Amino acid sequence: MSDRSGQARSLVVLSPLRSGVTAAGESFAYSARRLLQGLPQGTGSPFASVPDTYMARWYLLDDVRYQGGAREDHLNNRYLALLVQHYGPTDRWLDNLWQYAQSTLQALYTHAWGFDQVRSAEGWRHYIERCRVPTGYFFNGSNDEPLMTQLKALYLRQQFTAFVMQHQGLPDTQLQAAFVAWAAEHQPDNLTAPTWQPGADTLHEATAVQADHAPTAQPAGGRTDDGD
Amino acid sequence: MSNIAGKAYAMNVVTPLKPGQRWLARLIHWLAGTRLLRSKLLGLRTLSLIHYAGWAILPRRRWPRLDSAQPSENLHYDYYLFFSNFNGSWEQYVDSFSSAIPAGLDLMWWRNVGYPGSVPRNPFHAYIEHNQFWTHHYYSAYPLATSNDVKAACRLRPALCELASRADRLSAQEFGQRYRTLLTEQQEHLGLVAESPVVSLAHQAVVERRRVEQTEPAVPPAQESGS
Amino acid sequence: MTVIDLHDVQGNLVKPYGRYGYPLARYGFLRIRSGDAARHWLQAVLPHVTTGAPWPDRRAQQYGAAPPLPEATLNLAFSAAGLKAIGVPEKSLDALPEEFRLGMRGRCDLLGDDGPSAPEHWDPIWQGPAVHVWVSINARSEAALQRQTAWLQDSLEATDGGVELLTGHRGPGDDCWQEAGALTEQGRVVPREHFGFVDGISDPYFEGCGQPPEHVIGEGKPQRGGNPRDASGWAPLATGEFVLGYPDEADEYPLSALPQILTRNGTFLVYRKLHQNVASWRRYMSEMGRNFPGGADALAASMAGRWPNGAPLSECPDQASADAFMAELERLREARRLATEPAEKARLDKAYACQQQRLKAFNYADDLAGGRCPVGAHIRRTNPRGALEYGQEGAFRTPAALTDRRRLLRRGLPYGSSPPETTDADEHGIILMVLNASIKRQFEFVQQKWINYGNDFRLGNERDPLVGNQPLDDAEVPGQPGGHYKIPGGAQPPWFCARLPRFVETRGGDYFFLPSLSALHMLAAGNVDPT
Ligand code: HEM
Repeated sequence: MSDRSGQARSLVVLSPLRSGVTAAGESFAYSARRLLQGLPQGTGSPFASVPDTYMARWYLLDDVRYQGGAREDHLNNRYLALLVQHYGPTDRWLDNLWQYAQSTLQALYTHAWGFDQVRSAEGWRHYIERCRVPTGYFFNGSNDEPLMTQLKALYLRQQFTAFVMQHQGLPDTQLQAAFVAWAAEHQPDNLTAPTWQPGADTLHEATAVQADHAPTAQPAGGRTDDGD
Repeated sequence: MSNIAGKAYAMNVVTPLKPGQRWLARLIHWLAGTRLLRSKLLGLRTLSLIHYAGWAILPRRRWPRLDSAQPSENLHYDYYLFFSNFNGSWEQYVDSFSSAIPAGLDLMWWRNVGYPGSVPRNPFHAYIEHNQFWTHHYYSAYPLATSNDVKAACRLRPALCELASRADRLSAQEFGQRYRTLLTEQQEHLGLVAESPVVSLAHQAVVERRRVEQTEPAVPPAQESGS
Repeated sequence: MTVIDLHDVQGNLVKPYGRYGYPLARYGFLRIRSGDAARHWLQAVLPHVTTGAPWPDRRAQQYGAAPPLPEATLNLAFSAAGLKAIGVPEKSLDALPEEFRLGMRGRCDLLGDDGPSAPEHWDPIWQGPAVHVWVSINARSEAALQRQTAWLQDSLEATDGGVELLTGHRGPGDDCWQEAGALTEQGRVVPREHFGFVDGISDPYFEGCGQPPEHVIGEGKPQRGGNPRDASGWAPLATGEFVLGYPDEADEYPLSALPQILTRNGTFLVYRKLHQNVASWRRYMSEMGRNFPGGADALAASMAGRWPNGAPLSECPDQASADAFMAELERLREARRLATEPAEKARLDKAYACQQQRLKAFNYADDLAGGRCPVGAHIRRTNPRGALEYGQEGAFRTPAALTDRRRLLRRGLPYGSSPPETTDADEHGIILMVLNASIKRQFEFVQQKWINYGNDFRLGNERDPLVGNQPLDDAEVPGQPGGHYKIPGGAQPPWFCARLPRFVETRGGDYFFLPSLSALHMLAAGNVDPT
């Protein structure tokens, strides 16, 4: 049994959705799906503000599929599946999710059984524990550095490769001066800034937001989506 | 609904395990993490298309039940939950498995009801397609990067930090030498990324949807009933 | 061992005509206005379609021991719309792959045909409704070309407008043919393309293809533990990768239509007109080549993976060794020609064949970092051989498991001319024709993932330096071309080419089905019955 591969962790959660209909007269599965569909993507995703989230997803498991020529299985519940691959202890990650994405969680998980008691990060963790499915084998094909290290590394590789191209063939003195200036600007040791914005899917977006967000870069103070 | 976040694709496959095979499957999962089977998974690593992937087993009587009012499940089979975050198109991923590492794949899956084996390719394609579940919300911290990019970048950074920490204290000549040594040693890790090229018509639809989202105000979450 | 009925497959499937002494070509496209007329026409021309039947040795003909080779060839292929127009029932068409039905224009985003390569800039012939039939003529002489063309045009005229030869290739005159032909230097045919490289060297070797067995070396698929320099390192590819109706590399039959005989012994043909910005290429090579160690030709070689003279970078690290390699080939060719004594001649034939095969007999397994042949070079991208196992011996089922299903048969010839004073605007380039069992899995994959992207080679978004669709704008300096290319330095720092422009642009094309002779016969008879 392994939910971890080095410092990378896997979280698999299946939350059974309530039977019956919402106040609006929709099935809970339909309503949850609609909610998921409406979530902003990329930098706007609720996961983007949760520190150390490598990748995460929600999907609806509405039934299992019949294989033909075998015994026929069907589910009596619909399940909201949450799958996350992140860095560091899962409890810490769950606390952060609660802190930074509480309103989304509340909107979504009111569709699920057993969530109505959840009032706090602790209650949330406890709830997740009840729905969690252990990962049998977790394959890490990438690496298990903290997310901020990965993002900074990606930022640096991009900047440095461009530097190498621009300064190819320069005499050593000029090269040195240019590199010193480059290092001062891009600060290889500083994980906070300048770096890539988590969730950005264009180069422009990855770096452009820096000016506005640099002071609140995570994890020191990730954004919460409350009150947005 | 989207299985795509930039260069990453989210795959979910849920399949029934043959009766009585759960323990063997568990054993194999455990062994996969040890030296014994790690060489079998060398292929998976060499494919280097995957950020993170995993298998979970859900015994038929242990589906989460949180309330006495919640209907209980009444299933014949235990279930296998597979997830993956990979780079490239669905076809490339599924084909790579089938042509490059059929044995490793069969090792993980052959206890599944109806599993046709990873070769020939077409029945295998059909099997995955049949049992795949679409993702509704998918997030990647670096849609611009593949697993290869992340790995290369993380190898490069320490060398850059090292050179940057002393660059202004070296003589020009010494600096030049170290700079060139860095380039030589790190050359395979240098490179530029950009937005993912269109890899499938589905991908194209996602790109189009993002464009529309960006030009029109984002749809707010349907109802923030909590607030 | 698979045996193909070579009399039933069309000749271009197994013979790159250019290399068989047919340096001139014409490609035309037809629209079918009347199914009846088209079937009549097909019936009339069918006996003249060139098959894959083995051609006798040239020498045998000289002595009158064999029938003469045709003076000109004829081959035909149909687009999805063309099959429909000639009367193939909907049910048979349904079984054909999606990409074929969509056609090249419908797939342009996947192919990276944007900016100047976008379909709105394609030749006029691609601006109307889909073309129906691809017609190709290859000829040994100008006179034969004219005769074959005149005969074919007469046959079309006889349809009274039922089958129309379309115009719009941006050519001179009445413009109903895309002219193509081997380039010449001082009146002598040379196997080069406009950037100056010898082309048409490497072509996949598959079971039943009818080529001499030693061609498996470097053109088949790499084998574990074998020596890439001899036959122990290679095996023939499965027939089904190139011809429908035979098992492929995944141990199954490739797609087939209903009835199966419609597709058996046929294959899919990609026709793609690629314009070459020859002036830009020359300018870039001479400017960048000034600083590049080894100069402009070495730079060009680093981009192609072969020296302009054809010698592989994998075997020949510098100009001198490349020259020596090709001089030896030339010497053996000459000696072989002059030899009279049979034993001596046999020995020289063998030596020549061996040296010829050395042009292809390499694997990148011993050059993973690309210190000799850059990882991103054109021939390494389009056929990575065993390189994608990254030296992890045994990681994959076979060393080239990720490559064996992406191989392409290339046919086609250059068009136009490129004198020293040429400009980018001049009409010149390559008519690329690719034959494969699955356009999506083979041609489109190579174009998308290997030519216009670099992740499989761990090169980020880097593209093929020769033919990739380089970004039109540099991220840092808009208005400047934005391509880049890394040339690994081995024990030295790598060399980077920045501001790489697009050297190649798409001018049009489409996807076709190349039927067997039996299938052509069925089409002509109008008796394709799927039920
Ligand atoms: C104007 C455009 C192009 C030019 C000038 C060009 C040039 C060349 C040259 C000089 C070679 C080496 C000679 C040989 O091995 O036969 C070559 C090989 C090759 N090219 Fe291209 N090419 C072009 C477009 C393409 C495209 C679009 C594709 C694929 C979609 C392609 C696929 C190949 C393949 C598969 C090989 C053989 C590689 C091997 O087996 O080692 N080429 N090309």
